[in-house]
Amino acid sequence: MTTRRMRAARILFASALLLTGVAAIVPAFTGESTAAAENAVSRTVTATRTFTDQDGTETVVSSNKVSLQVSQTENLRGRQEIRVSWSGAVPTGGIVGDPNSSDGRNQEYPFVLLECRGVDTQGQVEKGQVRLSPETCWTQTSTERYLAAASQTPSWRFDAYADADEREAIVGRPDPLPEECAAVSEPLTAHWLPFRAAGGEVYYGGPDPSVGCTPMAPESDSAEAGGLPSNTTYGITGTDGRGETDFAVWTAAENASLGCSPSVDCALVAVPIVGVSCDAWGAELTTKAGVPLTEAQLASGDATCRRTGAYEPGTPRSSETTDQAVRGNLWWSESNWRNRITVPLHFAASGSICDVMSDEPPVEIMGSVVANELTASWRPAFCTDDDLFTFTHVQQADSLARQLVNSGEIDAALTTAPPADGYQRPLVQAPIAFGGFAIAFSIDDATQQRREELNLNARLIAKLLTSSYPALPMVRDNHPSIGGNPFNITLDPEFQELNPGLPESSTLEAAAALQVFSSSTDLVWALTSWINSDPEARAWLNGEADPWGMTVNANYQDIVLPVDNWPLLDGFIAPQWYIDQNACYANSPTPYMQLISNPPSNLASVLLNMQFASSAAATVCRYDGYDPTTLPLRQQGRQTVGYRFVLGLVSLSAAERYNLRTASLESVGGTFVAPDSAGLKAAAGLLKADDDASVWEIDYKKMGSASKSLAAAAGGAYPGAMPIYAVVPTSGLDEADATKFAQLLCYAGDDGQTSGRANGQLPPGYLPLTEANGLGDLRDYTLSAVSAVRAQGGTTPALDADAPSAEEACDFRVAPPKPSETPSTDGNGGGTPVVDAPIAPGIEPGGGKPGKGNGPAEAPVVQASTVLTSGQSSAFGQVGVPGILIVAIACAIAGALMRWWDPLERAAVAAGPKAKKLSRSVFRRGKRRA
Amino acid sequence: MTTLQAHGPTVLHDGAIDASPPPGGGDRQPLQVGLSQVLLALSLVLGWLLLYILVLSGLEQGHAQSSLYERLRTELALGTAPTGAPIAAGAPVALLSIPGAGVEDTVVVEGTRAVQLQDGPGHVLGSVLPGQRGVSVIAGRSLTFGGPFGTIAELPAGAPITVTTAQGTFVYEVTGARLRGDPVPPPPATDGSRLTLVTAIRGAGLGGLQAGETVYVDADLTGDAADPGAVATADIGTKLMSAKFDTTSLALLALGLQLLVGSLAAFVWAWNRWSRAAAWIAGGPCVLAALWLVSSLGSRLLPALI
Repeated sequence: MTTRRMRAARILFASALLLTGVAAIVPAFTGESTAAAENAVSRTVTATRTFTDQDGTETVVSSNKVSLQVSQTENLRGRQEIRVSWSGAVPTGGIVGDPNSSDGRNQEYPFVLLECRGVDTQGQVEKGQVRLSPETCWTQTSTERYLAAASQTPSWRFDAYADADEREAIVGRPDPLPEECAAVSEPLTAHWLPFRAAGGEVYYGGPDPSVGCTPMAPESDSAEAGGLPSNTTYGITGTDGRGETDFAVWTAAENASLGCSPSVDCALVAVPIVGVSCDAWGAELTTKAGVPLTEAQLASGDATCRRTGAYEPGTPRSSETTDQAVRGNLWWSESNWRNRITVPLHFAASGSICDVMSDEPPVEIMGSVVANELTASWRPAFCTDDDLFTFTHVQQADSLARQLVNSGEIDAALTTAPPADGYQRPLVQAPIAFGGFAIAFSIDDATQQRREELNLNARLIAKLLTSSYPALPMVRDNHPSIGGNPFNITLDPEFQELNPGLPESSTLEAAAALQVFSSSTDLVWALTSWINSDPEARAWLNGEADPWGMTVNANYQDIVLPVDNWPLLDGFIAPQWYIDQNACYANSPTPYMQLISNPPSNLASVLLNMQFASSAAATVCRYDGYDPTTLPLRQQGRQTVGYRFVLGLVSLSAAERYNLRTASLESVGGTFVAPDSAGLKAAAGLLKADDDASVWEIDYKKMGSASKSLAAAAGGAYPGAMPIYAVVPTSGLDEADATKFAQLLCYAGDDGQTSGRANGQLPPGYLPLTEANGLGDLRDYTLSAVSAVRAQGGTTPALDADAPSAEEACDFRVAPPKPSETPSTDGNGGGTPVVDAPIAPGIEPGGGKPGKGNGPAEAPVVQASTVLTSGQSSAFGQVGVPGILIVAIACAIAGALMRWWDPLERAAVAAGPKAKKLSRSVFRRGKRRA
Repeated sequence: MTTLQAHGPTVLHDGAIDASPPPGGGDRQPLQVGLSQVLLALSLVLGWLLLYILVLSGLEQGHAQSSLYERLRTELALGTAPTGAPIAAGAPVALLSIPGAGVEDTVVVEGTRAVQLQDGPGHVLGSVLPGQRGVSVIAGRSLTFGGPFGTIAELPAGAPITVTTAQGTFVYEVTGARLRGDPVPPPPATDGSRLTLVTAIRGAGLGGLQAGETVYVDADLTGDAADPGAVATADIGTKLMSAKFDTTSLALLALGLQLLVGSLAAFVWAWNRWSRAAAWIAGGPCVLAALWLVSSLGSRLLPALI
């Protein structure tokens, strides 16, 4: 019997090994292929332009072999920017500043990039998808889709490749035409390109949508007055035929009319504009009324169509009109559209699928915004896995989350800093990620090109934070303490020394402040810890002038750092003459420097401002028809491309997601370190164990040190690094919750540390907790924490405890391990009780259970082959109706007994034969009472 | 002048006080009477609830069905019946007959929220319409509101299901039922069509009043499928088997309850002022109507499939 069992166990063990091997190899293959697809997509097309004469002879005018590279097409997320570069295209002329503005459409030979819904194929379109066409491509304004002319011969009518009905005088007009449109204009020729929204609606756009001629999609913004800027790009090709740009991809969350999602296919379509291939005689062209065009009209139209550009390549737009045949607004014409390069985009499922996938209420985890991208990636992976659970990450101030978990109001928190006076509740702070803060910027250099690199030190950031730049003459002349300082950072010699080649401007109010959001966050705590540790910055804050004579704003002098919420201390109110002349400011004369800093309310706003270069300074007074007694001060808003300058505090992972440029910060020994993996890895070397608080903290003392010897040892450490801890109680949780959090920690200690952009992986901007990165101790401690959380014995493992292996700690089929040692009280009394990590009891081999490798190995194979029905159930449906029936009967019997107990009792006393009579009397009596 | 004189001195009785209850008040404690009345009233209310859930709600769906049938018939004749999104929630989309489960010419409406399933089986948003290529899903109640899908789980393989839409009449054959954890059959061929019916499964005997788990019944099309129309986005607000407290229903329910209280007050007033018969004639229907309205609104808060 026993031997047979042993044999069975061995066979199972062997098959488990085999399956593990298969399971390990299969994802390795797929992983490679996705990695390759993620990294880059490259496509090439040959775009030609031809002219056809009246006798039918064709001349090739230009032929360009255009190649396109796209940095990422898999696992895309909303508003993410991907890098698109191209070569071999016709150089652009008549260039405008902002290639995302609708004005870009009138450039000559732009490289048009659009996001379009659908599959670009000649064959059958898959069910649930649409065929990609110009009508499913998004443009923000109607002028990019609608062309009307007071001429019979606009160039698009001469398109050799267009069908005859696409060359009529009026194309694509809604039928019947709404009356309002007829009232607006009556052009001789018009080309309408409707937009087909994901919901099936058709938006015609048409002339002047502001008068309500035909409706536009709700996301469109013909006035380009605000909101998200368009992602339609009229890219600029240099004279060498190359160009590059960042393209923000939108999901249905940003643009429901476009409607891109993991299940709705979308693509990036690049249309290299080569100009219309002209053929004046290929189709019978008529006027709107049906009269054929005359030879003279055709000849002059043909001449217009054959023009190849009014501007020299590379020249900016001036007053001269661009040639219509080579403009970007003909991107949909067949001559241009046929050369398109379509790159399918694949979006990662977002956390919103959890609402549909799972009927269990999510576990709430509160805290750190630094973990946003991490939870955004893990959450969909968790809720779609039956073995895991659904959770949500409530983004909240870290300090509040710590306080709530300490008081037991929430079950778990994500945070970086330990509380100043420790936790009063037994809990464990398990490292789950190693991220950081970044100073993001959007700055244009003297040649109006986007700046890619920036160096900042702690003192410069302290100058921005403390409102020490006066920003404008009124403040300089009247402020009590900052009058002698440069207007803003671009005029600061220290900044100029670190970043040569940036233009100086005395009017850039946005360059006088760092955008830091106003709620409490450990991002600010880490930033101010670093500033505090830097001897030069600290000395400057204490009132010492910098080598160029700049001094700190007196309101901030000797400020105690670190803080987790940057205080606005400057109370300077503008003088009376300024109040008198500024009606908006007169309505509420608030401290002026606070209007310049004007902190956005949350991280998302800062990110938007950085991505689209919006200044937060609320100093704009616009007399725009409002009652002058209620005129508000407004934010400066988007800056002109070519003259951008904004700086903001964001998390590193968010900067990676939104493709923000991030500054290199001054590190140990005065070197400037970029926030990349190498910088984070070096920063991991500066982690020091704090046994009292049971966490590892960045050693800011060393970070700020200028010592050369230390720089040799810990050189290149990025000062913005921040470990993120999951704070989970080790007593008071019920078993189900404890298991869930233990699963989360198991995931964080193992699978979750694989870098990648797919759901469930560790997104860019975090350093994996691995031995190779010098974070093995932290990973081990997470596994120790698993045992403590599962045991719920009220213990906190010591930082240097021997960690159990992942397999032992995370085998959820065996009972939670019991900690063997009793907690030893800490002599200082400040911290929580500390014991060595409990070690999970091993499983007896051959003890009647299948080998323990069996479960994990089998799972992927089963999931790959079949999908299981996910049913729902309802407790009400199970017991509701029978329950009501039983309760109703019980109530009726109890009520009747209580009411008529006496007569019944009497009846019981009376003889049996009288029972019938009595019951009748009861009935009568009951009737009377009713 | 007369002087007021007492008739006699006050007499004190020092015997036992007559503690017997006053005549006509009965010999039971008022608490007991009150409790018994509360219990009897509760049993009456619960009885009404059962009556409504199991019988009267069926009449309500029958009424809704007859007007929906008229509307769908007209739309089919005019050719205006929907073939793709957008379709207004609650609008009729198809006619369903399942001879093996006692479903005969039942109108399928668009949407699967509780309020739509009160009118008839509902087409799940996000799936194609019945008869079109792809998988079409129809959810229906199994117990309340006539329980149109009450016995579909017992359909044998091969049982026919007939659906009529604007694109024609389609006959499906049942391939099987599945519960939570059962494997989902592979998707139909590219030109095939599948109809999946969803309801809450009922047990046998007294368990027939239980309907706690979802059951899916798959059926494959026997003929040619029609071209799919536009598909609406899935209604993520729908949880077929969980109670949903949306503010609209709660607000309507509050108004309905006010109506009920008002009509009860009027009934009591009439009971005291008018003759009993008059009170019954005038107030009875009002109270009944208000009670029905409240029950109908209240049942929107119950899981949609039951």
